[in-house]
Amino acid sequence: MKARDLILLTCYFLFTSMYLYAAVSKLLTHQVFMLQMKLQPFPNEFAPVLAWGIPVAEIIISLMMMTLPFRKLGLYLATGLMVCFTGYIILVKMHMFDKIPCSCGGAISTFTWTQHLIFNLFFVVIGITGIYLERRTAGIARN
Amino acid sequence: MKKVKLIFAVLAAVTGISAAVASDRQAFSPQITHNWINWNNELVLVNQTQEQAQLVCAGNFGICLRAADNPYIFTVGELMLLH
Repeated sequence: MKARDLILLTCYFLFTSMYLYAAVSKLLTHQVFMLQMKLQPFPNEFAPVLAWGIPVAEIIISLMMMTLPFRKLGLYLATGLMVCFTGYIILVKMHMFDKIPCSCGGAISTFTWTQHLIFNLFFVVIGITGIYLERRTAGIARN
Repeated sequence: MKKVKLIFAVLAAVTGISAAVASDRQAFSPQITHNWINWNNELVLVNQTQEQAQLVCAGNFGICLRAADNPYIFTVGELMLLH
């Protein structure tokens, strides 16, 4: 196995385990997560949609990354979702909203916004690395 | 290679799910659940442990939520406003 394959496997492993951890944690304390969604700067009607939609999206993306035909698409979606979350944290850090509680599951919920930003940026880098390696692998296979 | 990919995928799933379940049990399972009311006696949370109820309160000054069945059980801080 080449180093490139091992790095790619690690990217998928980290993304899948992190998204499943976050989704299951949110579902296990769903009532609290729902309240935290109501505290976000969106209309209250969006809270149930977000409280169910986010963990379900995370599970679907994880399952896609676990299946060979949808693996690459799953990685793109996982990275895209992480970029969205990171953008939201940057807006929070820029004081675009009032103080907002963190809405992550499990151990992540104890993070400060700065720690959360670093954590997310790490996964954005993982995602970009994975996409780069996938494209390179596809390019090599074509030639 | 396909087999390795699948093994890694299953390992990732097991790691993520078991970590979430383990951290949830560690944090909340030994505790009794209550219904939680605010100072207007409005029901805010149903069947949650003290640690879970504490998550909707910010800071550590004053009493935030009270267990409906036991006034001596409460969370501290300020209830984060729901809009």
